[in-house]
Amino acid sequence: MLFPSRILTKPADNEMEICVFGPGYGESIVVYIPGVGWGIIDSCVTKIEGETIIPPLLYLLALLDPPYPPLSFVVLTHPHEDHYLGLNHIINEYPGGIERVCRYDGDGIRELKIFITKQRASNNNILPNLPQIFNSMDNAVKAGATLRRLGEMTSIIDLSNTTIEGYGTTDIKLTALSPSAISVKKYIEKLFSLFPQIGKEVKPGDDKLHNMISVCLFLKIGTLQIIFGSDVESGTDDNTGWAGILSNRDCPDLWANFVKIAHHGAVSGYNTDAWTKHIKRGKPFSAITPFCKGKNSLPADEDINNYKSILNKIGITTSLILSEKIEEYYSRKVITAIKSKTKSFKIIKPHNKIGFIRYRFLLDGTVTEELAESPAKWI
Amino acid sequence: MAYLTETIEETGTFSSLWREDKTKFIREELASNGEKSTESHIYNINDTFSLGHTYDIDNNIKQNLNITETIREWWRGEVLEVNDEEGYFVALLKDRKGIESIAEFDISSAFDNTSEKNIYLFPGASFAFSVFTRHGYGAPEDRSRIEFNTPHIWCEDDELKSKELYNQLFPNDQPLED
Repeated sequence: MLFPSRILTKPADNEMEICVFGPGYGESIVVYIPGVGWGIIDSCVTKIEGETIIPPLLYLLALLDPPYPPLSFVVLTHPHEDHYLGLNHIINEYPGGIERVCRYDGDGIRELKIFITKQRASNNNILPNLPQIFNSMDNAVKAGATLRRLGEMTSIIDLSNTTIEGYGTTDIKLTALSPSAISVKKYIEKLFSLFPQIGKEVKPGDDKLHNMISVCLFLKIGTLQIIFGSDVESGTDDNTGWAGILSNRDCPDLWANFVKIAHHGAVSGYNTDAWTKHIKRGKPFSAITPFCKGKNSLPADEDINNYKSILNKIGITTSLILSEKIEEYYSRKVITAIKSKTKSFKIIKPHNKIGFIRYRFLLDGTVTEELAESPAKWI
Repeated sequence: MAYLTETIEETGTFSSLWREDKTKFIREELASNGEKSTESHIYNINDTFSLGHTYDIDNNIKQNLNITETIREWWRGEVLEVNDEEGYFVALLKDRKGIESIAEFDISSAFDNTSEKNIYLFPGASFAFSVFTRHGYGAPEDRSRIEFNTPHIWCEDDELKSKELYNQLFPNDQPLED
């Protein structure tokens, strides 16, 4: 049983749900918006007892009953593997169909595709599976879904005077706040600089550049304001990242009931001005999806302490378990060779469980559930 | 509930690191005393000597000296971070059973000199790390081997190749023009 039955309770019609998955390498958020329905922001995969699974898809299939309702929206926030793996499966295999597929699809995407192609032609398998994701989104559009091209101040959902049973009427707006036009321009310049030159070595380049076109989402319903920070970074100037979002004269007031903390809780995703606004009406609920790949995983302890100083408690979806007991895995001869070649060698131990952070809110702001399903926890 | 079938594309396969049409950098080391040998292959530049050519030194040894090797364990690796100041690089390793590890390798244990390192070692570089026992004359020797993929050199032909590849990868898009 991947999900214990005690957690498989549906939200009420007037309850907003935010369920954040982050298995250590990946992030996906399942949301239920009263008056709109279910949606998925990004996708991730994880391995449970050797089997690769897609937590957001399995969660919805376990929680909901046939006939499955259509997904109101599926969003790809930016082209990073830890945010898109499995998204094509969600689009192709979710039995209820998809109403809106949403991604940044403006200037630079053609260049991104050429960049991927040239890297593949050079045997660098960068951004694996991304072509399949783009193609599955295109095919969903051919099958009747609406393609929403996201960028600063573009709308995914814009409903007025929607009646929610048990609450009353409300406007419902789900809006992309980024990327800014300047971010896109800089992104294209960086991509061009990485295009192979005849006679020169082809190297994959710095993968972080794709954060420049990361889509931050802002949801307003009832008295709730929700921010999904994706991997938006603080900004290198007034026109990029969070600084770019805040400098847009049409940007809404960004106080929040809930914030999905940007860029896996890293300091690079922290913008003082943005957080001054987020906490303006009180400390929001929040979640972090760690990035556990490498020696210095995100968030660092100092990043967590920084957020703890301004927030009550933070849900963190998993933690990295490193074991130095390599004798449990390899023979003595192998260990001797490992030790002769490496300064340190640590096994990444899988949790073998799907953890998540789940919040439910009434539309007046009342919290009805705060759930940290192990290995997720509160910090 | 049934698990979903795995069709997630891997970021590379072990066998791809030993492509015959790809040159590579090999560093071999005796596990017991750190004795090293290096086999540095040349790029894919358009030259009859070096064009896509490689040779398997171990096969030559096997044929000529009747030496065999038993692979004890192997990993495919991805370089995550290079710390030149402290002389190490960090890599994510995945063994044949799918067990993942984080390892810090001494740069000096993988490369003899800076020029080699500058060619092969960068974040995102892929390599294979293997531990094996060599059998032949005398006592068996436990050795390790690290093999880096050589960066591809972009050639005029690659432009044409990438146009065809683009149409395969993105069939819904307008083809790339000449």
